[in-house]
Amino acid sequence: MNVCMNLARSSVIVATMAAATLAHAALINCANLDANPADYKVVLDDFSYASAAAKENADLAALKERLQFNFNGQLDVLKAAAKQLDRNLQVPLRLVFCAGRQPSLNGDEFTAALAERLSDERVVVEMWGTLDLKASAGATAAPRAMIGYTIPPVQHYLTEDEAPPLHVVSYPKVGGAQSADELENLPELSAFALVGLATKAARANRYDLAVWAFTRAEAGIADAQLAGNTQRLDTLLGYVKRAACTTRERARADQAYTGLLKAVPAETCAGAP
Amino acid sequence: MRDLIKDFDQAPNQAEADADAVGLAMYGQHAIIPLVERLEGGDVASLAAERGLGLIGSNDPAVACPKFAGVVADRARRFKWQTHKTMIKVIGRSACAQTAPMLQQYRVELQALGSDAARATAFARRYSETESFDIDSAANLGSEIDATLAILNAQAKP
Repeated sequence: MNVCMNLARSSVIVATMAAATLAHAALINCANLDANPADYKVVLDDFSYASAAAKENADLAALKERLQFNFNGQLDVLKAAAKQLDRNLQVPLRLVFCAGRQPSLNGDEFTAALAERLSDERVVVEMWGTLDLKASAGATAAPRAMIGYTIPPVQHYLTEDEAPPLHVVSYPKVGGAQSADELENLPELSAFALVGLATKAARANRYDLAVWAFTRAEAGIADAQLAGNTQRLDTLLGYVKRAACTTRERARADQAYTGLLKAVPAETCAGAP
Repeated sequence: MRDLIKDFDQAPNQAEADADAVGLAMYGQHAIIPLVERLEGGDVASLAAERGLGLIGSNDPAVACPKFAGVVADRARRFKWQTHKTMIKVIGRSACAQTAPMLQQYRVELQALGSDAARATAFARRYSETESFDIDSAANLGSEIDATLAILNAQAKP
């Protein structure tokens, strides 16, 4: 199974790796994971540059800054959306920067042991990537990025067949007007973070948070599927739907729980995760 | 030893951290405290420290096991729940058979929490930080204890 997973990852990234002269793997320790221990964490590693030209490019440097700023904004949007739905629903998500940490693009360093450690530290997603410039005839070089996401709770608690935890996405995914916006916001980040958050929250019997996050992640993954490359996303989406259903059922059956999910009609969940 | 600790703390990747942890493990029981401290120093560092502690335990269980058990039995709120979990794993790999009753008692206490969040919060007062301990953490700790007891029981059989 691992061999298949590695082959699938490799086929996606091999061309980029060949060109990535400056990007070299360095999974240094992330020492500040235990700050704010009650919060779930989105870990943002240092982006690397694929070439010397990319490293010197002012636009890419600015893009790197904007990405970090925008991620904080995304988390704020999630928290506000949860509050809008239920004023008592807290979404304890926090961005953690791991300066100098640059995993290899295919995420080989994320072993089962590391995933367990990160999951225990409440890391719901870790993200890393390589920024590059792509020249096209008659036009100035445009920014592009290969971004890796891993969801440690999914890797720790589920099998690859149940829910693939690691995703490598190339941006911009499609041409046209949305590309620049997509590259600056990396919309998949929220979706993957929500999957990790929901998985952890469900296991902690935080049913309201888990069901909200699973439901919102479902919409985010469906959006990401529009850009193609859907097989791994299809499987992840299947897990999210099943897990949302089983979490609602667990909430209904839990006598200690008195929240809104008690009022949800009973359902039959196909293939529990 | 000081230089090895310095190298460990500045290791650029898992392989280097592992190598430094193995080097530290060669100091035997004297390396236990620095390595236990590094279980709480981040993800890569803690995985390497776990390897080092496992080597010390395998090499000299008579000396190491009581020290490992001391971490798990600690009620002075010196360690995180994650450190308890790692030490329980190391205890299994070190064949610390004499720790089985303590682990069984720990398991009973975890089972008594059920799915009661308030009980879990009270239980967490034994750890250096209480906020990250929840029902999920209790289940994870319980699974680790089960795995370790299975190893210890298998070793106890002729």
